[in-house]
Amino acid sequence: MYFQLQFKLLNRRFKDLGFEPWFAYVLLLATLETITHQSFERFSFAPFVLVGVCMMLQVNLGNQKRIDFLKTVFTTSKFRQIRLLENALLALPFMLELIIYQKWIELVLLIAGTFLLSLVNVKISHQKTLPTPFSKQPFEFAVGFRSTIVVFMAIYCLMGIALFVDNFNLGMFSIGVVFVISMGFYTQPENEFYVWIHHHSAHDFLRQKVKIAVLQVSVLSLPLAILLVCRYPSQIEYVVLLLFTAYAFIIAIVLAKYAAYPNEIQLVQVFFLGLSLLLPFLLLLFIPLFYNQAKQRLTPYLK
Amino acid sequence: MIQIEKLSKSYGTNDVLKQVSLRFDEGKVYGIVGENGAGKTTLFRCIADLEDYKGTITSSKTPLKDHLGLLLTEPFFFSKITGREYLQLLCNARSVSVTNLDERNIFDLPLEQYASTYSTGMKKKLAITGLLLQGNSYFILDEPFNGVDIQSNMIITEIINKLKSLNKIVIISSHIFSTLKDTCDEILLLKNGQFEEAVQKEEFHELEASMKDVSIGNKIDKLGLK
Repeated sequence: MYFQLQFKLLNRRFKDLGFEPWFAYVLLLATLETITHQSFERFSFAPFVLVGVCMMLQVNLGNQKRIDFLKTVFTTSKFRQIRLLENALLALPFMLELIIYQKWIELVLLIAGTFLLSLVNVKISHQKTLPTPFSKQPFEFAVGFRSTIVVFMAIYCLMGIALFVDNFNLGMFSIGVVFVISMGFYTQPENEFYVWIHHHSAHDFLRQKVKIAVLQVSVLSLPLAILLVCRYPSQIEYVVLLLFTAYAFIIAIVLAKYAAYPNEIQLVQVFFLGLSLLLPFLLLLFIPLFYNQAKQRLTPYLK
Repeated sequence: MIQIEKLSKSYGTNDVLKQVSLRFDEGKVYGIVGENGAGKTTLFRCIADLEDYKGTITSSKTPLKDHLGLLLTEPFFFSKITGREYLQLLCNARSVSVTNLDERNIFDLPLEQYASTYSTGMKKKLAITGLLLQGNSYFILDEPFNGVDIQSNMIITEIINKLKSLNKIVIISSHIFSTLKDTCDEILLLKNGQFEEAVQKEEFHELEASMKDVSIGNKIDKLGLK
């Protein structure tokens, strides 16, 4: 019954976004397969990224409010089953990809992670304030960093491991994950009050948002990039290329968020971003497109 | 000055505001009174330019929204933003630099705590502090006294009086008549999307009596309490 209801809710969300549910599922699976195929061919660390992305999605399912709700509604054993099953359902397409491409180690990692995450509630004390370097320019990174602090600790450990075991690709992966997580800070539209309060024009508002995003993601990613370059000076061009592309994605997601505002980012924008993962130069096309859409969407609030 | 002329707003077939015209002058405090659903919040949202509407709203300082401090009935806070960061965000939004934040924290709010963990009253006080730090000229305070303790209510009343002396325009909505009586120069009665009456300070007692009469009448007797 719980899963039937979730299925209905998901279908409703697709319909609200203007897609027939069956089409949305096909599109999502096709996008996943295309991205997997292209990235696995190009980058040796791509399977780890796939595992990381899937686990991040599962972390979202473990947020405290959801958990509290499930706990109050279901018995303990039922609650455990639901948590495991919903994590497994989410992981299924990713697991299938890993099976298709015979990435057995990553598959084992994902299965173990899926099981563990079903036991863990992502809860950090709400009373205790985590200091961040982003307090002067709230809110996306201040809020996002605090919500994903555990992931960032893991990323920094991963970079340490990469340097220790002499694995350049793992180091590149760590930097990539910093950007992927940071992009996640821009997926939800804020309450209209937080746009309305600005005295800027839509153009200046967007410019400010992009500037803050670039500066703040740099605080999180550049130390890792510098470490990697110091360890592998001959590979600097790859690090620079990764950073350049990743910054373009950060800019794109900020603009895409407001291109859909006040709604959540639409599937069309997600599709464009996904396509850009395969063909990053397409961002040159999509960034101006998102910018124009965002400007239009913000004008009612920032006249 | 804020001048509203022939303001109309409807949602589908529901006409919430009908050809409303009124003027708010500097150095005065206005109370807006009306039953639930009378159109108070819609009026505030129109003034703040958060809604499309028919008619015109002009102000001596333009654009109006950039000089307006808007206190919503239930201010929204992000889950992991501290009180200090919230105030910083509001000031950044208006390019206002604030140096002595702790000194200006007159409600003694725990600014290092997440705002979402504040009580209803504390949230309201934080939101009010933010509006004051922005240095606005116009204020719309939707239920500023709701959920706030007595001591802070007294502070808010004094803040409103101070804003008045600084020649600001303050528009308040409150369901607690005594708070309006203490702060307002004029109370406007909103009914069915139109302003029915504008009552001056010296007539507040009559207004209160007539409101009691209309609202309560003999309803209490009908309860048959023994």
